[in-house]
Amino acid sequence: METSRSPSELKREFSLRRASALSGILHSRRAQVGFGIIIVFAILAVGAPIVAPFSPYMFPAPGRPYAPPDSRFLLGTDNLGEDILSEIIYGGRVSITVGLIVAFLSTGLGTLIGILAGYYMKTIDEVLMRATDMVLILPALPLMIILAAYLGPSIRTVILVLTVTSWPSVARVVRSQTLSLRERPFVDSARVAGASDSRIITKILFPNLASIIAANAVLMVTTAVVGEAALDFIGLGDITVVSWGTMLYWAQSYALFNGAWWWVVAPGVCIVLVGLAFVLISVSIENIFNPRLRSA
Amino acid sequence: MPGNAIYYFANPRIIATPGALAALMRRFGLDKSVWVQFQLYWVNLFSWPPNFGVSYLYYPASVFSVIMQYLPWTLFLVGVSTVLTAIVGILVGVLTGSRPGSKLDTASVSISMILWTMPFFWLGIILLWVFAISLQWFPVSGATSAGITANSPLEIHDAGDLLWHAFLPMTTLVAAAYAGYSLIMRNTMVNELSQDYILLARAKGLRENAVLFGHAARNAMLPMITLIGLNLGYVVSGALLVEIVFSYPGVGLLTYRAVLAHDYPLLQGLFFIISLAVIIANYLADITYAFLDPRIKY
Repeated sequence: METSRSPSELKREFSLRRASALSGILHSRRAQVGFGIIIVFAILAVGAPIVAPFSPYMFPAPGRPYAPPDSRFLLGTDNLGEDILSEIIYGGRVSITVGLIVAFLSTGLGTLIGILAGYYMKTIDEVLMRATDMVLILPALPLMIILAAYLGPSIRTVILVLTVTSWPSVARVVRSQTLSLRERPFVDSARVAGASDSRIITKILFPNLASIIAANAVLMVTTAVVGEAALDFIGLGDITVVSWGTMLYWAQSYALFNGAWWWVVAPGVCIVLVGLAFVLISVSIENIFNPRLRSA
Repeated sequence: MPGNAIYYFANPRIIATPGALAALMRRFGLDKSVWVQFQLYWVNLFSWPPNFGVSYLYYPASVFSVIMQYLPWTLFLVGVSTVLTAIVGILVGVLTGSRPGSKLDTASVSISMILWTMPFFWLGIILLWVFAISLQWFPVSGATSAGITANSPLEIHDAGDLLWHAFLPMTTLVAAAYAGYSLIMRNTMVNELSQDYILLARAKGLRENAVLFGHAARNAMLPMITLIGLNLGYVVSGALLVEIVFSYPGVGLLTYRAVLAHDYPLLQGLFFIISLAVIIANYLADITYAFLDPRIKY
């Protein structure tokens, strides 16, 4: 059946199929909500200097300490009198950027290791997967803490530590998919046609894995944003930089006993919203590419 | 490691004379080469009790003895909350998985998703603020009331006091870890209910509850054993943060203090013991699985 069609016809069909998958994602209600949330936060982050009413590092601070939300300070002020809304807007820049960078790095690393292990099998698979299992089974947070304690607090440390602890789950998923893909007839025919290993991996396996990698990468942003907040909360990030995590770090010591609930609620709600947005998109990507899930 | 580790011991104690610093270097073995230190580490690890060195923060107590003081409280928190989470998650999973697509199912899946994204520690802070600080129903910190001292939860006779203190931290852990259990149980239930033996059970005229709990749920529960093992690392991580929020005297609070004090020997020992505990638990889960499911052979 497939052989009766010319390469250009096939190409057109594939691009059509890809376009319909993309529009399928854009038309799912979940993904729309997710994209909506992300667009709002992206605008706030990019336009921070214009959108934010104050600078989060203003000295002297614009308000009195622990001012509850009112018309001037929509989300109230912190212990120094800085505007919480401005901190949220500027903090989002750090939290979301770290989330995206970590998602990109860890998905890249996990994909590389997963494909190599799944494609070459035998010794390479054994070595890579034992390493993966080792990192996977170690409790993530203690591992992050000990790494961060040795590397010293900074945003670079947070990115590195989150990447090191989060690639194994991607590697596992990609490997198992690669294992089943490599037995398919079209991989055999490529090999018979004389394609090199690197060509099979980059031109045949990778495009077929793209949807599952994308779903994982998007989900990884959520993991990274939450993980970043946790590290900052313990004080292992750079506490002088305003992020949603460092806001909670300072709030933990000052907010509760001064009744400044707005200071605690705002960053947490933002973390949940952004995290949820990426989960919703990830779920709808998976639903589109894995029809079995649609009925369930 | 930034700076010389010994300064983190010496500075808070205002020790500055070169002779004293040199003596400290010798005391902690830091004057030896890295290679010799590494060899010593392995030798000490396999002695009994395992020697992780001396804590900077709790000097002169050994790292191992300090950890053993805090570990039972974390085991108590993690153990009880894991059992509770599994029970609640399985029940909700059975209920929602038997009616996929219903309002109850949609609501439950949405709640699970929100809980899954919610940072453990933030949920803890909110609960602390609402129930401990504002309403004052529960204590703000600690594992026991003032005056009650115990080395582990088992030594406490006043169970009410113990549970009163553990209530909020445990609720946080259960709420945050619940999502994984309920979602996976739901999906395996949906899967099992489409199998032929369920059709047979219904054809035999069994009551719906017998079909759900006696047939489907029993088979759907098998993957939960593995999940408990896999989830444990996650719950332990969560427990660390929750202990910090509630000042609960477990290894999480200890880790936090060790980080603040740059107590490197204590951090190393903590990481080793926590990882060992999680690995052993995973191993036990694997063995249990093979025991329950005769198709699995190792």
